[in-house]
Amino acid sequence: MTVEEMVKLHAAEWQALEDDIAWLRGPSFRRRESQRILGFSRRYRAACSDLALAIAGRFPPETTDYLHQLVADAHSQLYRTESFSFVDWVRSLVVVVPRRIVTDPCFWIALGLFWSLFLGAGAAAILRPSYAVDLVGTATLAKMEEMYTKSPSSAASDAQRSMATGFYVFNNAGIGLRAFVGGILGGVGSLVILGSNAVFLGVIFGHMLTSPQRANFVEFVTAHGPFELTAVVLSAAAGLRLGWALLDTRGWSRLESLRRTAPEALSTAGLATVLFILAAFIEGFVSPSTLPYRVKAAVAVGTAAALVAYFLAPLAVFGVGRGRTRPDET
Amino acid sequence: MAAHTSTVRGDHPGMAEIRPPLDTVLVLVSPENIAFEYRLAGPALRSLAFLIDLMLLVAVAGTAWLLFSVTGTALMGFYLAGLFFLWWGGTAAFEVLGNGQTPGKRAVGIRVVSHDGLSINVSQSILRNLIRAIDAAPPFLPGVVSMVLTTRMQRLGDLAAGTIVVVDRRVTASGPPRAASAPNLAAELIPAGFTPPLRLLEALADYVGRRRDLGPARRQEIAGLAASRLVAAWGTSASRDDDALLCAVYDRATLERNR
Repeated sequence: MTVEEMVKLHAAEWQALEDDIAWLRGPSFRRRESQRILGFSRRYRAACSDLALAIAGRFPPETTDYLHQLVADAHSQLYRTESFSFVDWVRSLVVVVPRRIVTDPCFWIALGLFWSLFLGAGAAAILRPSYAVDLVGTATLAKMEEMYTKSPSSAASDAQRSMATGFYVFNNAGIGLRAFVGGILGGVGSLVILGSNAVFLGVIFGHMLTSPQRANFVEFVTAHGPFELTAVVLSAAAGLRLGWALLDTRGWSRLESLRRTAPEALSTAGLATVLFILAAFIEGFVSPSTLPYRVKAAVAVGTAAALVAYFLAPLAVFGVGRGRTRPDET
Repeated sequence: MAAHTSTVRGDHPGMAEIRPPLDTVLVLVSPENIAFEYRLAGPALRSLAFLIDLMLLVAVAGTAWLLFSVTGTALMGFYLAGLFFLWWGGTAAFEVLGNGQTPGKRAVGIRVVSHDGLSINVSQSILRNLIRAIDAAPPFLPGVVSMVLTTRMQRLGDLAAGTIVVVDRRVTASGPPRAASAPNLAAELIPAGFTPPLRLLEALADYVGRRRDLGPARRQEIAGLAASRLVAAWGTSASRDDDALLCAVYDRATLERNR
């Protein structure tokens, strides 16, 4: 059979395979007919052998290039993994992810670093008022004091509250994601963002606790504090995990180690983003509300308890598991 | 990009060693044991796609801002929260739903695929698009540096997610290739037992594939270059139709190989 006859003979099948690929690339919620899938896989294998023939038989480059593309496109559709199991997803969210985070040294490093810097900077600002001025400048401090001269309990409209919430999502969760992706630079980016935020927040807390606006400040920051501060720590922990994968490769090549760790780190960063968003809603609707301080404090205690339960319950119920690197849990 | 770089010249019959093309081609092997090729997309194409996506995003965000600012603060919260998801996840959503293509990538004809040649999944897409915040960070643009330093031209986001960006050739070629041979009129001119060396056969394949784009006079001119040497080597009389002669040589040689 000459090349010409061969191309003429198969052109219709190749066109049919192209149509199959376009069909499979379409919306996945469309009902998929098993007969057509079977026909697709048969045409794909036929195209594979046609490509082999075209390479060995020195077909014109146009034909060979076309078949390369056709086989590549069909291959990517045939072997795509698209399975989504709700049960697996829930299990991952309530068991696998919290357990992995708590057994991950990166989390404890981030947590320890954040709180030691936060408390250290806060203590320094309380003991030496000039420390806060040196670090963040008088303008920032004056602005903070001015912000809390009025009681945070205000009867603001829902519109203003929702706008504030939107801003907190945009700003705070954005900082969290930057802390995560900064980890790809060997963890340095995460450490810088975590450290600078811890020191800045510490100084502001320390300064405000010694200022006359103390009561207003405490009333405002209490309710959303647990979620927001934990989210900062989790973001940085995810980034550190990413950076650590480049240093301790556990026998893989550096890039392979990064690639295998990245989905784990991403789930931690995703959890942090969820916490940031929840914190934004609390910060937007509860913290500045007219609710009595007792309720705001109860929210803080409740969210903190929920976090502790979320992280420690899987460990208590299911044990440590078989280590951090089970392939089916990434 | 040059299609092929030949390293062996002259008339080595048969088993000439051919170095793989010095090119941005990635060869992957499927479970069917067939090696297929992807052509990698470089920083220029990818930056262009990025700029198009960025302009689209600015246009969408700007239009939405105008609409939301008319309605007052009530919806500004939704706008800001929406902007967060659009900024950090918009491209990823397009990549997942568009099978590896954002509008910008579609416009320049490139596609993101997993490094094993499969479609990217949600987690890969989110990862590579989050890390773009680092890749596009001025002044050093780590993504561009990374693309230059890695053999598969991956930015940091690609390295972490295990993805590559390839040229989608369908932009230039659509539909199955045309059958490209000519009527076999000159077969009797070829001496029995003549087998063209591999490199000649490849040159013939190039010629046969492209001859339909040439006019009759140009065909004869180009075919004459090779045909005159063949005829001289065979010691036969010159052919009247060099184009048909080359097609005949090609058809007969591939006929033997395809058997």
